[in-house]
Order: sequence, then C-alpha cells, then structure tokens
Amino acid sequence: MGGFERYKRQITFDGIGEAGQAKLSAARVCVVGVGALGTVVANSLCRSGVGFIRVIDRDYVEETNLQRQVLFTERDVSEGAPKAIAVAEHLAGINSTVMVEAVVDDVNASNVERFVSDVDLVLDGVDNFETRFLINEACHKHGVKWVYGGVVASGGATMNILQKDDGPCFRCFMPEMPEPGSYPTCNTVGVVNPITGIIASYEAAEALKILTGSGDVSDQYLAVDVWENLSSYIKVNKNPDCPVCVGKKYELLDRPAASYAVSLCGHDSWQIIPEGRDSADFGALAARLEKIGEVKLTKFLLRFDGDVSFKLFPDGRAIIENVKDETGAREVYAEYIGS
Amino acid sequence: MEIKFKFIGPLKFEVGGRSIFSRDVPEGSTVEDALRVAGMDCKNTASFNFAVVNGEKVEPDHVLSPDDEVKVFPRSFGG
Repeated sequence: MGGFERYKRQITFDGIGEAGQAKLSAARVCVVGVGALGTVVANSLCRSGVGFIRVIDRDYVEETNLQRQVLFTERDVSEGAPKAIAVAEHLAGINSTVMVEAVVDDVNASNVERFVSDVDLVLDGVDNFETRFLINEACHKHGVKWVYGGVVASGGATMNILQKDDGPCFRCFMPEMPEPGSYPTCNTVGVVNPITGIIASYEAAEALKILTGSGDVSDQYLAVDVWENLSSYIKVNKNPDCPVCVGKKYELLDRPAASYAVSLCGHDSWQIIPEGRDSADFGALAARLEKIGEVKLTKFLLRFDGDVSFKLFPDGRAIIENVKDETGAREVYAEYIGS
Repeated sequence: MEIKFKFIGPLKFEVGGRSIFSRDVPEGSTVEDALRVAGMDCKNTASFNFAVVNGEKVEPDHVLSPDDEVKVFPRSFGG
C-alpha cells in the first residue's frame, strides 16, 4: 500500500491531481496541539498523504476528551496515554506511508522555533492565547505560514497567516493577550463537536490548498457559529503598529529562559516546567510517594493522588491538578516532587 | 437612531443573554458608545474580539449611521 492508489479520489479532483499529490507527499507540517482541532487536522492530512506530520501536545488523554477529540479511544484514557503518542499510533494504522513525529512537550519560547522552522506549514490546535502568540512570532521570524483555528461553545474562527508583506498576522487582529480566566472557556461555557470538526476541517482544507499551491487561498478571517447559523468572511487589515509583522519585535520569544508555569485551559490545573529539565527518577519518587497516597506508574507518566494530585512526566514536567494559582502549584511541586 | 446588534456565541452572556436585539443610540455614536448602550464595555471585556458593521471589520471609534447592523465577535481560543 505504498503507492498513490489510495489517493485516487483526490488525484481525480482537479484541484489536486498527480502533481498536487506529489507536493503533498513531499510536504512537512507541524500540528501544535492535538485536541479537538488538532486530531481532526492530523487525521485529514495523514489520510491525504502529507509526507511528514509533527504532532505536539503536552497533555494526556482523558475521558472528557472523547466527546470531540477524534482518534482517541477509551483504551487511551485507561492507559493515560500522552495525546501525541496516541495520535501517532492511530495514524500509523491509517497511513503507514506518512512519517508522524510525536512530541510530548509544552510548546514555549525555548523550543517553538525548533518545532516550526523546518516545516512548510504550521497548523493551530492549541487551547490558549499565549502559545498562539508564540507561534505567530516564531513563524513570522522564520517566514513559515500558519493556519489559526480556535473554538468555544458553538462558534469558532480560522485564518491563514501567509507572511505576506502587505498581509496581516495574528497579532494584527488580536493586539493584546487577555489574562487567563478573564474570558469564557470550553470549561465554563462548553463546546459542541460539530464546530471543532468544522473549524479543523477548514484548517485542513487551507493546508491542502497552501501545500499544493492550488485553489483560492485568502487571509480573511472566517467566523462560524453552528448554533446561530453564522458564517462570515471578514477582511482583516495589516495593523501598521503591529509589533510582530511590522516592528519585527518578538517579545515572547526573547523572554529569558526560566522555570515556567502555565494555567491549563479547562482543567483547574497548572503545568510546571522546571528550569534545567532533567530525567525524573520515577522509581525513587514512587517509593516515597506510596507512603502518603496512591501512585500509578505507566510507561508514559507517574500519577499521584493523595492530599494533592499531579501527573509527572519523565522530563520533570508536571501537571498539578485542582490548584487555583501558580503559587499553589509551585508549592505542590516543591513539596512532593522536589525543586 | 436605531442600531441592530448581534452578539456572537458566548458574548451574549455579557449583555444579558440575548444574541439579537436593537437599541436607540444618540446620533454620532461610535461602536464603543453603542455597545455601552447595549450593555458592553468593549475595551474592558476580555472576550470581545472585534466588531463588524455592515460586513466590514471596524475599530471601536467607528461612527455609526442609522440602521447599521453591528455584529460583535468573540475571541475563539479553545482547541
């Protein structure tokens, strides 16, 4: 099953053809975040025969993901599988001719350029503004096109960031990053799965057009709401005061490296990434923690439930659950895992 | 002058739960002024993304005309 036979239907489509299929096979993309949007995007691009797909996610599969995050199964939940690993395993069974690189990591200023600079296109599947601002800066710095996608409740939006001299970037229409907790989230107002599928499918369609150099690729902002029968294309102008695409200032990328904490959307959880990340000694830690709570070790992570709950990954990154602020999360990390 | 509003998605919760309604606003009102009449302080509402008047994205200081339709779009960030 290594030839183009499997792509016969889309090769027959005159927007792709054999030449377009060859371009897809040679293309490299990065899907940042493989939740509700990213799983649909990765699934579509893998089935379409995009040659290399890097999938990145810091999270693991939970039962509440199954309502909208395609590719995942109840088995992934019971194994506590990292999303990137689970996606790669499922995609391998769908199209083994595609090279899928799974990255279980947080995307931040220390690594985002490495993830986006060697691909042709970046697809947005993330769940927070800070990572999008980072992607925007890194992609602009390296001249890599990216496709924004975001959803909440029954609505969503997508837009191509094409790195044109006269075209807008993400920061042009969203100049300031809102404070976490100051806006409605999928946790507070929910989300229905048709909108995640629709927005992600638009992202995938734009990817196919951009990668094949075919079709009408615009940088208009598309807003869709399936509960309000809304579908609007909106022209976004380049902001002459944009610090990124006009000023070429990359304030998030240029932050000094340090221990890093971030609130996770929809979880009441905080992620702690220690400075100078190193391999965690799961065996010694598990022995210590078993005296004060329940420890579950999988091949991917250590889970602890006691007075506090957290998940610890092999590189020292931890997700501290049911804490309200960064200070509380750091206290748990220091007390239970070590500074 | 009468202005028709449409608050997309969760933005309706910022203005009492209704998505579509009209309000009388003073002549010469800007989008920001009119939204305040509708119940939203757009510069201090984190979920406010931008407004579209008669199909075109505008800034909050855009001056409205009678019978304009103002669609208000939220920030879409989940994934």
